[in-house]
Amino acid sequence: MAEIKKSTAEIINENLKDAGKAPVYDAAFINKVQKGVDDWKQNVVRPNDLKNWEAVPLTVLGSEIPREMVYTPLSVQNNNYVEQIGNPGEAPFTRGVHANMYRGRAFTQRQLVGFGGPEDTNARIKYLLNHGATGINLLFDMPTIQMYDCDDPMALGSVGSCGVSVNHVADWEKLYDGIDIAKESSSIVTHYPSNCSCLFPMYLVMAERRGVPWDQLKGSVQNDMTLEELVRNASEYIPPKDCFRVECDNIEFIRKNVPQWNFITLNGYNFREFGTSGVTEMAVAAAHGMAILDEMIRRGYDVDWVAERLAFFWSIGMDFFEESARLRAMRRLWYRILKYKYNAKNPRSTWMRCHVQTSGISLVREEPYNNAIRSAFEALAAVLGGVQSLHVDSYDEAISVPSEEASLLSLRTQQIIEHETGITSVVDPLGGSYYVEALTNEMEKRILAEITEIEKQGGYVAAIENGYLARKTFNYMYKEQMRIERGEIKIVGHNWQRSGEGEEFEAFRYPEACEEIQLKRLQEHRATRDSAAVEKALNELRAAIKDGKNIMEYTVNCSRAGCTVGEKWKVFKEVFGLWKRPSVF
Amino acid sequence: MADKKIKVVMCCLGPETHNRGIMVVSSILKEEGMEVIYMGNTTAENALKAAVEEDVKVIGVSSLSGAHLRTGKHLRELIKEKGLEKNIATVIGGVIPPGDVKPLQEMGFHAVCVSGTKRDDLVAAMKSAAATVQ
Amino acid sequence: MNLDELMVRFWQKDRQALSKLITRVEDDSPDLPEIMSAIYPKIGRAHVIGITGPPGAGKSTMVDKLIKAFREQGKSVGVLAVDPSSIYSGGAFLGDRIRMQWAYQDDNVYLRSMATRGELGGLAPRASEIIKVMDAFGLEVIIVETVGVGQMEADIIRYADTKVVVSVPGLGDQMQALKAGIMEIADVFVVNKADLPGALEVVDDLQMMLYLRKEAEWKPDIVLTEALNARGIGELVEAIHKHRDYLAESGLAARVIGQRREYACHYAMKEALRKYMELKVEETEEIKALLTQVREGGIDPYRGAQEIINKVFKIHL
Repeated sequence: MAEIKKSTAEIINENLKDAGKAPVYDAAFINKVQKGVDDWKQNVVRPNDLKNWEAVPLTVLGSEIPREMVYTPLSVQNNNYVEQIGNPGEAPFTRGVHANMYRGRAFTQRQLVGFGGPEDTNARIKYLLNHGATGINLLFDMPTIQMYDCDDPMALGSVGSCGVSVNHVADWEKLYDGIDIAKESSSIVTHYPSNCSCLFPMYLVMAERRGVPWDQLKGSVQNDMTLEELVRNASEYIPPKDCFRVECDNIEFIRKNVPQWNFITLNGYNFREFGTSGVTEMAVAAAHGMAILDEMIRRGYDVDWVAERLAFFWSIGMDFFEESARLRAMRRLWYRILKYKYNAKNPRSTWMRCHVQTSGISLVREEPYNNAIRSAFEALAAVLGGVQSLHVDSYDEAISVPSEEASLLSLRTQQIIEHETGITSVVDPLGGSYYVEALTNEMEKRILAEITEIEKQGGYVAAIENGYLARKTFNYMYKEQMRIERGEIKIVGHNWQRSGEGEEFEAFRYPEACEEIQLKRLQEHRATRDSAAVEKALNELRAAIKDGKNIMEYTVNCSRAGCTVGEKWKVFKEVFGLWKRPSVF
Repeated sequence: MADKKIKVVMCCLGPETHNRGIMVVSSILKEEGMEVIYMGNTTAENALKAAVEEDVKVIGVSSLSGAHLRTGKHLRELIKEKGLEKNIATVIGGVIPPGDVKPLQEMGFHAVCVSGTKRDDLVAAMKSAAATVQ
Repeated sequence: MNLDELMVRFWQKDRQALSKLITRVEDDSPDLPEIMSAIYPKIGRAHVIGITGPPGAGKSTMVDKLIKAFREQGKSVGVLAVDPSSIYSGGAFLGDRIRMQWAYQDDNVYLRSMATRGELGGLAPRASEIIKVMDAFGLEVIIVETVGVGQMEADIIRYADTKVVVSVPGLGDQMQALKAGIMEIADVFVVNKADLPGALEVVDDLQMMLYLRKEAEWKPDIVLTEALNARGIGELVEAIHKHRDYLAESGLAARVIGQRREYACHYAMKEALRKYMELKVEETEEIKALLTQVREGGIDPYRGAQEIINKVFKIHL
């Protein structure tokens, strides 16, 4: 990797010149406002309020940024509209990546779906599509996510839990039975690069067998190493630099062969839910995005070729204005990074496009219907922040995986925001608010400062390798937990105004019979497939990893030969070796 | 010599993806002076092997994915099968529906700490579990 | 369980009995001398390998690979992993098992973690007693792993037959500290992560240090490894065996055994006296009164100590 000479912050600041620095209003006006505010503080505001002029809101997953009691033109006196805000669909995209935003196209309403066996999930997908969902958002069960086959001892009791169980291509065919993959786009939540490499090829092979050309496929995978190396709870990790290679191999292969597919979703969500602030969430995703761009440029590709398909996935927490503001801030910052550091030519490359999900960690088990209110406010903050796509968590999530009824309420929440509130008729309705603009500036400043910290560690991969990010996250998580314990962060019904209601709540149960069905199916599959072809494909994969070839080309072949997820992962572990994560305790 | 050290195994049974709970709880137990053998994701067989070799009194299980009834039952059965009921106690916690608390207790879990359990209650549960075994 | 019953099960190779016995040693139980005495005739058969080095050197990965290598040779393996306890709470986080759990579904590998529990002086002898229990149980290779480069680690590792010190490129100043400390007692050097830049520099450093060693009979091997990929592990096992053979052939092993027996006797004596004294202090009002005087400054601590000893043993120091 090339020596980093200048930090991203230095590059951006050199290019910005006056943005956010030169006065916007004329001096006489500002003097008048200043005097007015001073008089008001002296004559109207109570001394006690003056003393506590800055307060820190303590919220779940908040950034603990101090807020003034009120914001005025003084707060944004250097905030030049053209340079700092701009029109929607124009640089720096603070107000949104499209000129007409939701007037043109509403946010995609993607509810996560996945539980039990392929047939169970197939039915739920059809249910949601029939009720107006505009995309498939597919989640796998615990064993599949962690790359164990359903007959692995680790999988006992978890088959079909929290997602759908798939082991090989035939399972995918059942999962998508009766669903037109040339028409419906799918967000396939392959959390990790390794998982993406093992799992996504099965979707491609299914398309191949249906005669749907790969260039017609639309959707996204996650393919995010933050999740595999930092967030994942496991006991087996491949080394970060190898995981990063798998990630970039996936990107390279998908970009070349499945051109309409989003090959990575820089996943802040799970990282933040694991325990970090909205600032760190975005800083790490940005640093990660830059690491990918650097590597793809090193591999000889044009920056635009990669950047135009990068997408993000954020968590939306409870601090309402902070959430909207940081989405605006990140759009501006990502534009500046792509423009000034990477000289991107295609405007699309500079867009921070994102899917978001309301925070699961902000939901509690007491009085579970309160969670519907929490999720609705979070969803509203996301829409006011100009997101492309949204999932609203269900009220029963702190108790079980969502029931059909709860899933529908989540979908309805989105539909109510879109169709009943009138919010979508105006682009960036918060733009120009003294408070929101000041907070947007503050968020951008803080995200950039954390990017600089990561660069000081030697960049994104190094910051994972040396434990910097693990320690930072653990400290945040622990502190937040203590703040909740002590009631400093208030959660209604949980640590404040506790009523004890909701204890008799009926939880959703995933069909446990699916374990037996999946086991039997896998046994049959292993018995009937061409085992010589399987062996050969796995050996070729082994050699390709050692020889530094693009790994996904070989996992596609493995999928064609009928290899399972677990069999491919075993080869990864064997060739790369296992990495010991730095301890945080 | 003061009180004997309480040594515990902390684990998730199966491929859980979330470890916030187990990490925070492990830290709390350490702060309370316990010796924590951290296993991460593992199988009941492995957890039990560790518990025997390390001579711990309590196995703490963190569960979020809804598999607690199955994995919990499997762990308890193994303990019974190996005749370790008087030596090793078990405590389970995490995302557990209210209706499952009783079945888990009936299986032999000394305590069920549903999400949101207070720090002090958690520590007390582990201590009282340790006191029930030799 | 009473001790007799426990010992019966121990000799029947009951792993739970082994664990319970180790706990008694670790907790400094009153029947400790009895336990040690009972197992003493059966010790001395295991090859004890000590592994230490700075944090992040890749020791537990290496231990993992060594276990695999010894298992392939058909040997049973015991591991004692020592981790620090918190100074404040006395609690500890023993995370080594997370990396080592997979290879050892088999009953020929026994893993045990041990927290330092803040007892600096007593830790190393305690660890040595646990090693002896494992030895008597019949484990053929015993690996003791400690994290760090300080005096405590050196003390523990001293009890190993073959002392392996692991270093990595890029330690900078830490290397100097290493050289002045545990490296002086190493029998085998490992430079792990040999694929990183600077590995050969570490080898140079080590060779220089060895050159300066005075009249040493044993010249330690320097082994380059990449533990993650199991590269160099074969060579490491070979170097360890070479040192074991040297111990036997040179007669050093026999001499060391004698020294250790004598040392163990000294230690047991001191421990017995310490416990006896503590007991007496606890139950004798007169001594408690003396201690109060010491606390209040009425008598200086040194004279106080002499008078207490005189009282306990009815002697005149």
